[in-house]
Amino acid sequence: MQYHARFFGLIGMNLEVPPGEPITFELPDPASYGDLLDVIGARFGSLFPPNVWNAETRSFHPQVVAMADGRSLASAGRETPLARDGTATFFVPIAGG
Amino acid sequence: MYGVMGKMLWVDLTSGEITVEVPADDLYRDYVGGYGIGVRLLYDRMPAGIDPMGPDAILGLTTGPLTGTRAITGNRFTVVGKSPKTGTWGDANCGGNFGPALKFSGYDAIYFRGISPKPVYLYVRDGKAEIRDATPYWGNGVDVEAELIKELGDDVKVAWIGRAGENKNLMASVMNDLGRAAARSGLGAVMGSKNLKAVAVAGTQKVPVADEAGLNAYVTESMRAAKAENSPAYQLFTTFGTSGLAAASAMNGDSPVKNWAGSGEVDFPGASKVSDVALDKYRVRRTGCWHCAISCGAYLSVPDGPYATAGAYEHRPEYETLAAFGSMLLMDDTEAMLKVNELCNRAGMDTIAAGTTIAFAIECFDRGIIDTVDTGGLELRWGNAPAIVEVTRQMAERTGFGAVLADGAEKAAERIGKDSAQYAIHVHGEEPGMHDPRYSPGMALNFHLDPTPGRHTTGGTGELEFFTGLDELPLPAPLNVHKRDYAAKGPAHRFIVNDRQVANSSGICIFSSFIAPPDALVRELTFVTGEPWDIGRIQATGERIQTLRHAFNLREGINPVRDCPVPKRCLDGTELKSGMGKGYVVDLDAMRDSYLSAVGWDKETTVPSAEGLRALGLDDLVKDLHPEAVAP
Repeated sequence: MQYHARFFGLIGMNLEVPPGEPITFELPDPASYGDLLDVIGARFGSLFPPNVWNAETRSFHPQVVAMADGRSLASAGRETPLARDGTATFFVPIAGG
Repeated sequence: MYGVMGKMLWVDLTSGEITVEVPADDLYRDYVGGYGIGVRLLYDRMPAGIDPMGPDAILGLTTGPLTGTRAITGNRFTVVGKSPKTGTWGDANCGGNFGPALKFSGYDAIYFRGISPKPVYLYVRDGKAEIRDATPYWGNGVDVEAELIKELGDDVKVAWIGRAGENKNLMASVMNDLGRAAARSGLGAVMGSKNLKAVAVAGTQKVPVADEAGLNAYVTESMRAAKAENSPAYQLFTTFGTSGLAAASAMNGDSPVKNWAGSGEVDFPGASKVSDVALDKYRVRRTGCWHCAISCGAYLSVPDGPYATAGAYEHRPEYETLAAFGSMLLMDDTEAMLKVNELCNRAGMDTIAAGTTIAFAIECFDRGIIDTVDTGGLELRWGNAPAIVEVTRQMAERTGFGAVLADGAEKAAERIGKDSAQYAIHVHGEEPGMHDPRYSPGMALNFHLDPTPGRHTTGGTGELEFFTGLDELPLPAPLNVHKRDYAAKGPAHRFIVNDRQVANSSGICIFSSFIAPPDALVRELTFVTGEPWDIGRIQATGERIQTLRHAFNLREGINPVRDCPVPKRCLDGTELKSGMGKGYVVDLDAMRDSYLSAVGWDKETTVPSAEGLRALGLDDLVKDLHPEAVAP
């Protein structure tokens, strides 16, 4: 199945498209959040800024938030099922200014 | 006392008299500094009902005990007074370099009363203060900060107002450091009403620190650890500052869109054009506030074209500016964004208020309530960058249609009439911060109940609800409450609000939490003041300050339950097409009841109980708020 991800700001600054632009991944069907992390790591792991991506655990730093359909994928865990043709957004949350 | 200079300057601008006050130690111990001491003094010395721009109004520039020390981000100052925009208590918090320099000049704070017969500035150097003529700097848009530094020396730091303050625009801010704003509450208009153009300070005095070796070791180790960890938040801040949030916030539903009527990317697809990488292309160099290890600022420049910036460079727009002029107006022209940011900074104009008021005007234009005859030919349409830039310029100068908008959305609606008021988004006259409560519900409590209405930086659960919910963070009870569990939020909101009152009053930046250890406020206050600080004292002191800020408004006859409603557009997400607030309706009443129960304030009148006031050491307020409880 296809799934999309958008990497904002710091996380998306070194990737093949500008930050925020959707990137499409091919995942098994059905797929979980862990499957998405695996393909993200394989394709972009070395391009993320230092400490954003942990190659050993195949996961983002805890400060990186992954949201889909209004819920936190990271909090829900790697086994969380993904919806076909859905979109996850990855960003570092800060506030104010 | 440690951490303070132990002196405050009082300047009567009517008579020209300057006096030095040496406050009792208890004032520092009980109210910390910043707006904590500010509200204590102004509550005592400024009677209820005064005209906030009249001669009896007091305007204060204040610091905290951590300002000018090695404490992490210890560089803030606060402007305090009665807000001419809302008639409530007013304060605004600002970084830069002015705060530390004020303390090095020998004073913890400067308070102004009266009205000068002509434009003046105050010059303070190593304890000596002098009122000087500012006529050459008034009314002509001259860069007063640069001029005074040229005239008085490179070590001088300047707080100033621009054209908006001179014109007494109710959204005027107090500026310093080439574009850093103490923006909220309209206190730049109070400064303008006093004919006070600037305050220039310099000095060589040192802030006394009780345990300097301990503080140095703690800060050095904390910074070493933060740099070694190099967390994504730290990298984000040092790379993009708060602009690194703008696109994700607009897409996810944090940023209000189209005058709060829309949400998310469906309504504002151009968010990435006014965020992080897009803005960074214009970066000239990075910058930061005084001795800040984060240094989230940068200078940007548009060298040519219709939106060329006037100076060599301008401060990078903050997130709030990017949302107020971006998603709120559907403006995705990067260079126009930098231009309006420059116009607001040079004029000294609150960008949240300015953007929101222009959004109101555009909606009125869109709905046919006003037309080009009203606007002087400006096609005020969503995303029309040339018109947005021009009306921003007019607002600063209070000319053309800008004069209608110069005092904010509420006043603009009064001037326009014709049922336009329903599109003016404000809380008791103040345009709310750029964080949508439908996404982070706790923010509605700040807008509604903070003594400076519409505020987003005075603590609360909303600040931790920007992404998921407090229950998904590793936090202990009562903080681990689900963001939609409206009726259970009171204790968590109380805790965070109280903590923030002390942090804000101490002179540190709210962003210090991105690099400092969780116990930094307690440890640094202890090192600097030599006083025994712990969480319990932080909570009690914070609640004392917040209660006094609230009591200032009660004494003015303002009850937030009745007088500070949050517009329905900020609470009802049932008609949104995207964003994480879609479909939700924020139950503000339940949140408010929960918080009022937690702090022991009456649910109808919001008056704190007499017992509660006494427990906080605010016995003197009992006679004002509970006259029936005081024996004749």
